[in-house]
Formats: sequence, C-alpha cells, structure tokens
Amino acid sequence: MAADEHEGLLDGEERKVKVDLTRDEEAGGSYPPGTFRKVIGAMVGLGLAIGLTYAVPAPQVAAEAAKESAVASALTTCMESAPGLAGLSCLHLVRPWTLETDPDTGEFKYVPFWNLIGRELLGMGQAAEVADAEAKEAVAVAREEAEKAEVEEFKEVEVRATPVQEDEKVPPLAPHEDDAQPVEVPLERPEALDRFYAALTRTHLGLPGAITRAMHYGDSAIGNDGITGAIRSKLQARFGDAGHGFHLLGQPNASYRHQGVRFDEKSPWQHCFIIFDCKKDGYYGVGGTTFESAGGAEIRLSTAQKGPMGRKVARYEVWYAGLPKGGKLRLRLDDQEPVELDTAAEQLEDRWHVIETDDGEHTLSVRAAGGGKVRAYGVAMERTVPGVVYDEMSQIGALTRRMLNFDAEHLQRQISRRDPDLLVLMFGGNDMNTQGTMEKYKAEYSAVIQLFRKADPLLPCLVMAPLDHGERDGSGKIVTRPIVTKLVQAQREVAQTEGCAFFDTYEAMGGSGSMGRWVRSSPALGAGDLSHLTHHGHKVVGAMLYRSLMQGYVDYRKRVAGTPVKALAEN
Amino acid sequence: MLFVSFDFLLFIVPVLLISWGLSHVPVLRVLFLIAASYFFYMAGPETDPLQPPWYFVGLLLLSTVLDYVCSRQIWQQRAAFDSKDPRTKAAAARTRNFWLGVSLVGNLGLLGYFKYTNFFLGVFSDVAHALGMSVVVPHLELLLPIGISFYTFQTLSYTIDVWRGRLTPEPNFRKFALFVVFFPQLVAGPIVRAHEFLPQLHRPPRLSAEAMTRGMYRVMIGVAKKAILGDWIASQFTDAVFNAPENYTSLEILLSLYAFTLQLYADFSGYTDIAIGVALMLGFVLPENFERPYQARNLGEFWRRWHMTLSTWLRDYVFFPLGGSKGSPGRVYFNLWLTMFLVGMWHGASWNFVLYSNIHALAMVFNRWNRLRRRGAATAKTRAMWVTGMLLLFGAVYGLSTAVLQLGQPESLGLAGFAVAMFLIVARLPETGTAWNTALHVLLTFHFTVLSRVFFRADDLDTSRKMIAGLLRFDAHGIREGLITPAVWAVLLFGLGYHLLTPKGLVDRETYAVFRRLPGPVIGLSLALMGLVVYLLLSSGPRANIYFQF
Repeated sequence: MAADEHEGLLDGEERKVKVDLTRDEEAGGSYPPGTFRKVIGAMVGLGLAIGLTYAVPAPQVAAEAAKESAVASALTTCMESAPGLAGLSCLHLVRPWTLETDPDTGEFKYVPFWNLIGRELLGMGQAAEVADAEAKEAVAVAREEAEKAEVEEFKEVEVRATPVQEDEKVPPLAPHEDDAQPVEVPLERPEALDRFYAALTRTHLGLPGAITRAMHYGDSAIGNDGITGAIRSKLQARFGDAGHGFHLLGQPNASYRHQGVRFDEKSPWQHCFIIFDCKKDGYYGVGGTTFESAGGAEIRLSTAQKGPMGRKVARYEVWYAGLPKGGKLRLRLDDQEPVELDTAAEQLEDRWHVIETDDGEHTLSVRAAGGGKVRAYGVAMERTVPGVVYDEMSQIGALTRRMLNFDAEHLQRQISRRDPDLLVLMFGGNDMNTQGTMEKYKAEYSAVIQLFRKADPLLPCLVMAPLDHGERDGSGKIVTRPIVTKLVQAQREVAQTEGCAFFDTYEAMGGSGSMGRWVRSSPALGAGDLSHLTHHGHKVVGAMLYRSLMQGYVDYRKRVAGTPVKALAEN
Repeated sequence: MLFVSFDFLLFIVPVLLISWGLSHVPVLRVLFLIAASYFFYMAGPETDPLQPPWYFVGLLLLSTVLDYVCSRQIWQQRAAFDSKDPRTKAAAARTRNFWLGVSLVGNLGLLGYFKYTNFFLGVFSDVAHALGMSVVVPHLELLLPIGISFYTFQTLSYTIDVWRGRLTPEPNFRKFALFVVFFPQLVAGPIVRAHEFLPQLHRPPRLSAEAMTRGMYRVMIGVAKKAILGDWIASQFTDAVFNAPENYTSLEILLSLYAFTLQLYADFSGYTDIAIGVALMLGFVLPENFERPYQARNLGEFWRRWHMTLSTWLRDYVFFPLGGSKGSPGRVYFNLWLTMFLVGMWHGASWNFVLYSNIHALAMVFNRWNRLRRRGAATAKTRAMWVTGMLLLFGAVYGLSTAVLQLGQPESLGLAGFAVAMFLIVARLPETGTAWNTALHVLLTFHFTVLSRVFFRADDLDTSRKMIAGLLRFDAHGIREGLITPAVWAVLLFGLGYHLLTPKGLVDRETYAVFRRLPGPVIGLSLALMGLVVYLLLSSGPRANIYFQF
C-alpha cells in the first residue's frame, strides 16, 4: 500500500516484509544492444574536453597568469591578455592534474588517491601527520588563549588617602601573574609609550583622579568592540575600571556594538559617517560620525548589567555642536529633571556638557527636543576613581586616508578635550583592496598620524599592524595575501618615521598562513572571510597586545623605580 | 573519496568499464566491486584535518565479519526456537539473544566510542561543575571513522531482521561483504536495508540504456546541487556568518539560516543523487532519500520526506518495537519523542544536538496531539487547560532562553511569546487541503526547520546563542552592501524557489525527457563544462559532504 502523500513518518502501521535469500537466480547479466552507447559517448566527450586542456600549449600569458594563486583570477587575467581564439590557450590553466610541486616542501601539489598513494606509497604521511599534529597543537593553544583572555573579576584600585610627598619614590613593580606569560611579539620602540606608562604608573599607585585614557581607532578589525573590549577588560582588571569611555549617539553600522555598556536607540538619529565624506565641514566629532535630528531622536546609555566591567559611571560628558539655528538637546539622567541645552550659536563650534553624579548604575537619555536641528557626536562615560578608560573608535570599512576627511582644527579640539594618554591606530584591512604604491600609502598614513597628533605632537602613539588576510590558492590551501607583508612593512616604517611604537599583529598571529590556521582552530579564531576574527580571535589578539604592552610597562617601571613620583607626574 | 573530485573521475570510469565487462561473470563482478569499494574507502584525498588512515578500514571489515557471524549463529537456532519444547525454545532464545547482543554491543559500542565518548565526558564535566564539583575530564583525540554511522545502522538492521525472522541470512560472504561496503552509499548513505540490496545480488544485473541515461542524469543533477547550491553558497556566505555571527546584522543572520537550509538539502540530496546515479550505472537500485522535504505540510511529513532511509530505519527498529502507535497516549508520545530524539542525536554529539533533537521531538509530539485531539466546543475546563498549557509553554521557553541560551529578559520574553503565538496559530489552523491553507502550512513547517537549523549548523552552543541573540536584536541595519553578490542572490532564490515550489514530477519527467534526447558526447561535454564551473567557483575544492561527519 502506498503511503498517503501527506502521511507523517510515524503515522502508518508496521509493514512486515519477509525476504528469502536462499534462492538464487544468479546468472550472467544480459543487456540489449546499445546499452552503453550513450554512456561511452559521454565518457569520450568528457575525455576529449579534458584532453584539450593538455593539448593546448602554455603560452607566455598563461604562464604569467598562473603566478596568481586563485585559478579564477588567473583565468580572467589570461583571457584578458589573449582575446578571441587565442584565449583557448588559457585552458592550460585548468588542467585537472599537473605535476607541479610545492616550492617549500618539494612535494607534488596534487596526488590522486592521496590517502593511499601520497600518504603511504610516496611517504608523504609523516609530514602531513606532523602538520596535523601542529594544527591540533594550535587548536589547543587557541582554546587555552581564549580561556586565558577571559576576565571574570577585578579589584577596584585603592585611592591613596595621602598626597604625594616631595621625596616619595616610585616603588618597584610588584610581580603580577600576567607578566609571567610569554609575549608573542614585543612592541617595537616601546620607549615611545613612556608618557602612557607614566600615566599608567600614576593610576597604578592610586593617585586621586589618575585616569589613564587610550583611544583606539581602526577599521573593521576592531569592530564589535572585540579586540578593544578584550584589551579594555584586561587593563581595567589590572589597573581599575575608570569607565566605559566614548560611545557614539547611534550605530553607524552593524558592527558598532560596545561591550560593557547598554545602548538603547529609542528613536534613531540621522548619521553621517566620515568614510562617506558626507560633511564638507569635516566636523565628524571625535568618533568619526556626526548625528543630527530636528527633533524626536533619542538614545539611552546605561551602565552594564552583566560582566565585571562597566557597572558604574560617575560622569557623563555629552559631545555636541553649537550651530546656527541650533535646536534644543534634552538630557535626562535616570528619573531626574531633564536638562535642556540650547545648541544655537553664531557659527559651527564644538561643545561639551558634563553631568556628574554618584558613582553607580545610571542611565542617560539624549534627545533632540526640537526648536531646530541638533548636531551631536557622542557621550563619554567615566568614573572619578583611578583606572583605565579605553575608547573604541572603530571606523568600519575605512581606508586609512579617510581619516583625513576630519577638519584639522576640529579634530585638534576634540582630541585635546578627550586628553588621551595613548593613541592606537589599526588600519590597513581595507587598504589591501586598493591600487596604489606603498610610498603613497606611507605618506597617507603619516599624514593621518600627524593630524591626530596636531593637538599634542608628543602624544604617545602605537601603530598596530593589520591582521593576516588569507586567500585560497589553486590547491585550496589558505595562504597569506601577498599584499599583507608589504602593508605591514609600510606601517612599520611609518611608525618609525613618526616616532610611534609598533605592534606586528600579523607576526603575533603566526605570520605567513596564520589566518588559515586560525580559521581551522577550534574554537575558530579566524572568520570564514579569511580577513576578520571571531569573538574568540578578538580576545586572543587583545590578550596578545595586552601582554606586549605590559612587557613595555614592566621595563618602564624598572627604569623609573626609585625616581620621584612627582617627577613622574610632571612627565 | 569525494564524489565531486577528479579522483572520483579517475576511479569511476575504469570501475564502470570493468564492472560492465564482468557482468557475465557474477562472482568476479562482486569480488571486483568489493575491491573497488575498499579502495574507494581507503583512497580519500588529503584533507585538513587529516582523515583517518587507510587501516581504519579494519573497523569496516570487523563490522562485516561480526554481523555475518552473528546472523548465522542466530539463524542456526531457528529450528530450536520453533520447537514446541519450552526448554529447547528458551535455550534457543537465549542463544539468539546472546548473538544479537554481541552484534548490538559490537556495533553500537564502536559507534558510541568514536562518536559519543567525548560528548559524554563533556556532559559529565558540565554536570559536575553545575553541582559545584571540580572535575577534570580528559578530551580524547578520536578520529571518527568515515561513514561509521551509516554502515553500523546498515549491518545492525541486517542482524535484527534475521533475529526477527524477516530475513534469511545471506549464505554467501562475498555478497554480504558487498552489501556492507558498496561504495556509492558507503560513506553518506542512503542507508540501504538488506532486503533492498541483497536480492539484487541474487539476480542478474539490470543493465540497460535507460538505466545508464538515468544514472548520468542523476549524477549531473547531483553535482550541480552539491557543488553550486551546496558548497558554493557555503563558501560565499553561510560559513562567514556562522563563524562570527557577532559581526552580522539580524537580517544577515536570518538570511544565512535560509541559505544553510538550502545548502544542507542541496549538499545531502545532491550526494544521494550521485550515489543513486552511479549505482544505477552499475546495475543496482538504491532507495530514495528525499522527497521534496521543504514542501511538507507538517513536521511528521517533513521527516517522512527528509533523510528517509534514516528516519524509517529508526521508525522500524525503535518506534515499532517500542509499541509504535499502540498503547496508552502517554506511551505513544514517549515512543514518538524517543524515536525523534534519536533521529536528532544520530546527527551529532553536542548540546546543540540535544536541543535540536528535543525541539523536533517535542514538535512531533505536538503535531500528533494536534491532529488527533478532539475539537469540540470550548468548556470552562478546556479553557483552563489551554491557559495552563500556554503558561507552562511560556515558562518553559522563557526558562530555556534565560538559563541555556543566556538571553536578556526582553529577548526571552519575546521568544516565549513567539513560541506561544506559533503554538496557538498552528493549533487553531486545521489542515483543510485548500491551496492557501496548504501553502500556509508548508511555509510554517519550512520556517520551523529553518529556525531550528541554528542548532544544527552552529559549531557549539555559544555560537548558537550568538546567532539567536543576533536574530532577536532586530537591528535595522539590513544587509550590508557587497555581502551577498547578485550571483549568490540568484542562486539562493533559484534554489529556494526550486525546492519550495516545483513539483517533483516536473524535474523527474520533463527535464529528464530533455536530457535523454542529448547525444552522449554532448552529455560528456556538459559534464566537462560543469566540472570547469565547479573548479572555478570552488577554488578550495569541493568539500566533503556535510553528512560525512555524522
């Protein structure tokens, strides 16, 4: 009985079938004439097509194109160079089996029936098993790194009750378990960060109001507050939580999501993101995005409810603009009476408004209250206790040179107001997809650093190299894109020229082919697009940078131990 | 060995030619196909991570010998078991049960060891931690033998059928060995029963021009499904989202679930098409494994249409022996839940699959209850029961959302409300058979499968949580420019439309009618062209079938 078309799997009754295998009709098969005609014809057609790829000669254009790692792009390059029938010679590139060897190992790139022939008969098994074991080791390390990067709790830094004495000396640094961990790649020129380390020392000593502030700009590599969130939590766990830091008034893109803060967009503001060059005046605010509303737009920023960080705030600083015919900006802290700011001004100008409160859980609402257009940038959330504030300033999708869209004077005022102790820049991911020489790129990057340091030319800066970016070669192996090492070297040279420290993220990840290993690890550290990191990967890179920074800090503390604290404070 | 690979082309052409050449010499043909199957199993490509070395084939051999011996021992007790002397019968029953036990312990022991050991160690550790105990459990570096879930079920069913008296044991070891290792279905199904396959070895091979043409047709359809709708969509979109869901918007995550739903079906059914097509060209008929599952009107129907050889296996060897639909309602619902739970857990050993299995099992329980319940006028008692039931459902989903998925309160409340709303909609929407009603039921069933795929695809529970949190964020960022290329959009829409809307007959008859008119060389050139497209689209090379890992 045939099943009802819509019968469910377990609806029917059991059907019992009895099969007797003792009877045998086994005999040679007979088949009518022509049984194999079509299938043999298909085999011949297929064989001829494959044979054609071997029959065509490999001209120069094909040989040149073959240097490209991806087959599709090699074929495209070849076809463009050999139009018309000459393009047939490009079939050379799609031969299914060649005797090419890997330049590193000298082994054949493709061995059919590898598990038997390559692994056993050609003796490739041992090397493959070593590589496999290394990959498994990498997995174990990845798991350990991801777990190590978790911060579960932290202690408040004790604020000193007594003022610093004239003759008080910087004490030796007490050993810390984090400093015993190996450093993947040390910072290059860590002495460029001495002023940052001095601020960190003041914070560490618990001097009243000693907040160490860092601003981390970058492209999508720092999106989702991944790497920055990891560094923030590590630094705050050790030096104290002085607040979440700067947050935009909205999400210019899906990857703008901060950890350790609650953001609620009741009614969105219109935004203009610097990478689109949409404000000719160049006033994008310190976060790179300006927000506008003629009334009704409202966001709320609250302290975090989960996790150890961001649970308290004592100071909200609203960053906005005064502008001709500017409207009202209404700020409401918790359930208190709202404060209404008149944003009207004779000309476009930078403004700030500070709301101080008790150190605890709070919510601030920022609303455009009508009366004209309001333009604002964001809110900085801080505390008054010693600690670290680490701003995530992601510019998703930005080429490095897009930062030059800032108006120089405006950015100077914005950064002066933020008063950072460290500027970190991590660009390059998007620059890998553009045409242009490295000389031009270096000039652009230098110009960006100079722009950001215009307010304070000695502001310590750290250039963080881009992540490894992978692509698959013709055999499917994930390899590093050739541009990556060029870009890393260019950034290294820029850092040196501008007197910045340099962190080689690419080398810290493991250098050539590392993205492939990170993608394959478990938990996966690299994302499937071979350009970004996963949640776990962010934590690992964040922890790597933290350890390198701390290595520099330990060295700094050794150097300044015994020197007067007051001299440190005046640094 | 992967079907969509140059290795397989190098392998299959000589295998077909020699097999046809030996069709008049059945003994040699069977021996040759056994040798070819073992070669197929051992000679896989270089993969990352490495697949088990060739000597893992020993497990396959062990399973073959084990069930061959056990089934013969069981059969030898047949006369004594049919005896009217109770003592003789009891002794025979004990012996039969002993050998059945040997087979079950041997097969399920191997499967359990390789597939579930680390999961159970993990569960032990999780439970211990939850109870406040500090326990360090080892993580074993086990290699899962390819196809073990498939060939284990295949050999088990043979022994159980002999034990149940529904099958006489295969007298010829070589034929039984071929039944276990027949390469087209060895590593990813369909799970073939002995009564479907072994009789074909007792008859002359059925070779015909029609079988050849249909076989080639199934292979071509399978390659297109597997490589383009399966692998390519994965490489272009879904893998990236599932690897780092926190980087994607709500809409992008939702789209990735649709894409994965299509990818999974195309991948597995494409593989099955190739297996069936190759078997046809070798003169064998394998059972179908899919019947337009995304056109099912309810979940029961979905599971009758999806991976049919697994779901019917568990129906025949778990559900019916437990009593099936006979017995008290409670017992029937338990039987149903357990069967569907096992269907889910067969796919993988992780908390994700515990959730996936329970979601589907409980939905199947609901499906049966909803179809069989009495629909009369509401009384105060029934209203009270409905309200209580809905509150319980709300509480259960809320609890799951907060405790397991670790969602925030608003998201948990939203998810619980959504579950209650869907329950009420489906419960209040009887199947009337009208076109609109059918379409609505198909869409509801389809979306249930789409959303539950979160747990099927995500690598771990943490990733599932991120996916669900991302979905429930309902952010307004839409889909970022350039993330999904027009080509991927086209393939996605075509694939979903094809599977949701086209009647099976259209493909089986009309498209095939066009195909069979093509001359052989044109078919060969088409295959070559398809190979070129696959080569260019998948620079990483075709992937292993998703079901390989099961």
